[in-house]
Amino acid sequence: MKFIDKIRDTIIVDNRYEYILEGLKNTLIIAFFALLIGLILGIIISIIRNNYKENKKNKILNFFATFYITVIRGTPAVLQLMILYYVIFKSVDINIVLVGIISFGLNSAAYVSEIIRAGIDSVDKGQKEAAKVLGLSYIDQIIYIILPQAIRNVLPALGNEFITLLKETSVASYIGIVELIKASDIIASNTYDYLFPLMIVALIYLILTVGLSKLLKRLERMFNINEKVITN
Amino acid sequence: MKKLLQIKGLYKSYGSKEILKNINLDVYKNDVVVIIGPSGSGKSTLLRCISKLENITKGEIIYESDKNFHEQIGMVFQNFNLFQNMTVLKNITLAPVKTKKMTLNAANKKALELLKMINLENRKDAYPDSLSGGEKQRVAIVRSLITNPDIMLFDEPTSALDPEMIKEVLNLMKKLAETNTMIIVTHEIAFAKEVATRVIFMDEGKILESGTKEEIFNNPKTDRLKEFLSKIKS
Repeated sequence: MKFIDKIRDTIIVDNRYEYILEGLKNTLIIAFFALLIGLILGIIISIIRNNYKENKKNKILNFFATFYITVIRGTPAVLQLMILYYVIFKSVDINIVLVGIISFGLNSAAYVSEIIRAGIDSVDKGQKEAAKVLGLSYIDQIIYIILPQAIRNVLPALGNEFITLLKETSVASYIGIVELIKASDIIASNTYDYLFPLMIVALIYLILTVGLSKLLKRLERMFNINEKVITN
Repeated sequence: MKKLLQIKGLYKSYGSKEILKNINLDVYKNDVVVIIGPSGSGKSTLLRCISKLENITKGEIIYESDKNFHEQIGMVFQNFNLFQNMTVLKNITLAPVKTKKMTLNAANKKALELLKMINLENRKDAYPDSLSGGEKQRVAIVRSLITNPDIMLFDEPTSALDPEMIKEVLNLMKKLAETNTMIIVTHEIAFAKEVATRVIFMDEGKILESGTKEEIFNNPKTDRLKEFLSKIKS
């Protein structure tokens, strides 16, 4: 068969592109919402840990946060996903994509929190001291002064985590979610040819990750311009 | 005269290292207290204790005002410590607005007045990174001034500045010294001679001498102070 026929066979015959679109949709949905959960939860965890470190507050919460990070980072994401789906949500009627979102969100939070923690530690101590003397509360210091600077400092590392997360969602096929990998698998089992479906999916992942890193680069530049510009 | 601050038998140590030993000091309204001494003598640590950035080990600091603590004390740092992620205007207004001492409108108005006073009105939307050292320090000074603190603390405010910028900061401080109570740690002896109502010489965590500028600079009693003064004059 000629090259063009193979492509046709992979994509067009029997509307097989629909699998790819379905897979792309699920990959994007899981990655986007997991990123959101990971970012929010990760920031909360890093604040809990910083509050304990600085003010010796919420010892128990800090213990759980540390424990959480240890467990999540110490076990494979696919295992966490399977435990969530086959054990925790075993008897619950829940959308399988939602399980994916929760699992990857919880996973990402642990990594994000460690990145943000490093960012918080990188902010000049004087910023906090000035804020303290001015009478700002701990939470105001964090929200208005420390976090914005911390996140700016670790934006490249956060970008890395987002890209890893996007690719990691391929693991969702383990519990039967039709994401990109699963879609190529379905097509290949129909056409008896793995090369083209896999190449197509690889290309899609590349486009997504390159796009994402472009977006992050722009974000980094925005942060920098914001603070460097000379206005008269 | 109204007493604003009373320090009684203050000790501060880090581990087994004693930084401050038995400091006693009263500060009255409109005092301009200048603290001099060699580096490592505990001058900055004393200011940091007064501003509660450091916990004290022994003794007490009594703030003689019924205002809330953060309205009593303003502090200016050697490294300015302007908030990097905010414009000049936001730097000045953030604290009074967030601590509900002022409405945003009132804070903006007052901040613009203060910026006008230091001739930096046109820089209100600039970020700290684009200011010169002298400009940063002047902004930092008005930032700590906006809520009219009872006492302003200056921790070596000109030590990180290029020589040509020291003057603009000292000029502002001179102006403020006319109406404010200040405690200043500095190596600028000429400045101290001009504004100080009282000079304190610290060495190895202790106040060795305390007196008027004439007493300290023209009639030093201890050998340590004589030695110190001869060193900085040469």
